[in-house]
Amino acid sequence: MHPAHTHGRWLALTTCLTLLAPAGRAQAVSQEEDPELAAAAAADAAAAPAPPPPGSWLAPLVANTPLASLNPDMSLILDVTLGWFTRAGHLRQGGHAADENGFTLQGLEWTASASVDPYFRFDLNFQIAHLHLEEAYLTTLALPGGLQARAGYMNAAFGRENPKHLHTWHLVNPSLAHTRFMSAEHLSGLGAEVSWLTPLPWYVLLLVQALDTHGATAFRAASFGAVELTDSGELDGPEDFLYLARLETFVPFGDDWSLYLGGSAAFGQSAYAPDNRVDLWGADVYLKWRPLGSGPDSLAVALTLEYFLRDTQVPGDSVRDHGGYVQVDAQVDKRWLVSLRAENLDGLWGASPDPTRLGGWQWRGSAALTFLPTHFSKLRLQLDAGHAQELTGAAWGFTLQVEVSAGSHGAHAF
Amino acid sequence: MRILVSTLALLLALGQAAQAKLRVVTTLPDFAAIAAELGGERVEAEALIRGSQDPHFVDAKPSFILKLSRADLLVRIGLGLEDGWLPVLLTQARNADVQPGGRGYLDASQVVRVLEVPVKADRAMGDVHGGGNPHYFTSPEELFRVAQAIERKLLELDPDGAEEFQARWRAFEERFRQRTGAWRRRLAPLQGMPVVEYHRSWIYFLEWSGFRSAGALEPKPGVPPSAGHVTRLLREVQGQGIRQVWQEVYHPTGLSRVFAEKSGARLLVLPSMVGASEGLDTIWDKFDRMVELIAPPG
Repeated sequence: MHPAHTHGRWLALTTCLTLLAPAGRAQAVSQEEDPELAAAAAADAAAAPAPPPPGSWLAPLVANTPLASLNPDMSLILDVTLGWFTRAGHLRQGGHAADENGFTLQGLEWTASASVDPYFRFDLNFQIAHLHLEEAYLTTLALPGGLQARAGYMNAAFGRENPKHLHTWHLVNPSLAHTRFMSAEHLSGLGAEVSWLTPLPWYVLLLVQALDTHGATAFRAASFGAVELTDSGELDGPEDFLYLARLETFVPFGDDWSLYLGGSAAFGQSAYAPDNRVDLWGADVYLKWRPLGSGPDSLAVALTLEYFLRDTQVPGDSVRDHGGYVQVDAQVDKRWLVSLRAENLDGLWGASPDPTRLGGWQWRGSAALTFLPTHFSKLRLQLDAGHAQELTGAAWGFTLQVEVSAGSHGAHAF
Repeated sequence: MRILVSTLALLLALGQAAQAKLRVVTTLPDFAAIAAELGGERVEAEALIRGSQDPHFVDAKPSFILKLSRADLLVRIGLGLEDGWLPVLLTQARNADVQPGGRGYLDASQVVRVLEVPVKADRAMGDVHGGGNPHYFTSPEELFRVAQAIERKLLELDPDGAEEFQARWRAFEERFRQRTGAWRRRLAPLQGMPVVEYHRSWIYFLEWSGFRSAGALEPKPGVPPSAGHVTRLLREVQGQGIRQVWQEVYHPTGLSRVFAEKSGARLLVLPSMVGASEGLDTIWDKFDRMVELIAPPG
């Protein structure tokens, strides 16, 4: 007999015995019932809540769905663009976005999420197209006092744009401010976060986060340096972590208007000199109008403002630069979305050693038209125009983007 | 500074005072209306969705996180209808009671008779729900089952209110018996009537009332009607005696109005949820209005 067949039979026999074992144990317990345990069980049963009052009660039909599965909810999201640019590389499109002529695989995201147990939830976002982890973290579900903790590899909770993944963008490229102050992709790292939902009558959330700055842990940051840049090259103490704090509040004005305000701060190691520091501040405003009570509810207009201010220590000097964007998104009906964005970056003082990434001026304007055949696919046409300090002239770009999402697509934050 | 501290203390005290009641948060306004009716003064019920809003596409507003964080009971529609917005709110709610499996969590789809459960769900079929059609709240009978489940939860979470809850349940049951009898009598002359739907939202009501669906304006669930599909549907339903086209308040009426005119039918914009239009504050108001529109007097 082939050894594989023998192994297969042993495996089958072992599996059967393993599956039958609990049943055998249960029977043995019932036959040899401990009187003390039986009395305790009877007492518990007597103390159980009374059954519902008589009437035409129906038993819950718990088996009416084929979805009873313990597998994580998973989805795959593909983003492909076809771009044409008057000057290749001049628009500084940022991570995930094309700035050269031709096709670009922007991303292939694999997302998975599931409850681990009653206390934790697990979320994963893996970028298959570029073979790197975007996020993998656990979230507590049952801490008292309005507290919640996250731990793992995650995007920094800074501003509105950084926590968002590619498939939730309304334009094909990240903002200039995001690329300069956060990262080409995301400001992200391995770390932990604690947030507190305050007991005030309206939504106020306070959050602190600490991220490990080891480059080896895939710490990604445009404004901050990895711990390898310090004199020792190692994580010597708490000062070598990146610390972030965020305060956000949400105020609904009736059903139709929503105002979401946030302030963020991050303090860490400068990327330009060992043991120099960077202070980064941010403010974001999101105002949305969606008339829920007046006919078809697919109409919505949203205004987003995000502003960054940064102080960076460089050898012998300090550079302050700032920038931001204003964006308007108009969902004109269920299938059409129009997005406009204007953005600007500039230096305020100090001599920058690298104007492209620190202190140099840059502007860009973008307009995008998105068609959504369904909730799970998008076609987007975008026009960009921009200029930067160290370049010789303005550049234009046209991008056509296709996005499709397969699987159980998760919910998105406001 | 002293004024600020006093103000905060007052606000927190007000928040505590309001907690004396059992806080019920529901996604569907119908569930909140039922909870309010069954719970009376012992319950504070609030819905996240407005009756005029498409329940598939709801903004996950942070204010909802706050409501869920303070809820004693969450009642949701289930079957994937809220999957685009509710899970992110629940994760951030920091309230173990209203998480799936918690004592204050009720997925109402678990107590209803679900229709149109696909053998295999594929998005090529449109935005189908793997667990079945989630629009069971258009049927009085299914809402009665949900009311039973809500009653059970109220008794479990607030045993001190058992006497009041049971008295209210008896009144609810009696009212249900009377109203459903009246609605059925009013609709009886139309038995077997073929109806064209905009979205497959009405199959539960159609089944309950003894009507039948002759087709849907949406070629597939969640895919807006196209002129080509509607033209084909018009040909298919000719000779079937279509008298009514039904749709919710949140869908556009342009194409359905033309379809209704060409097929010789009436377009009825029906309230699928409590609060879909002015004056519809209870499930009785909702079904009264539906029946009135479907079978007008005279």
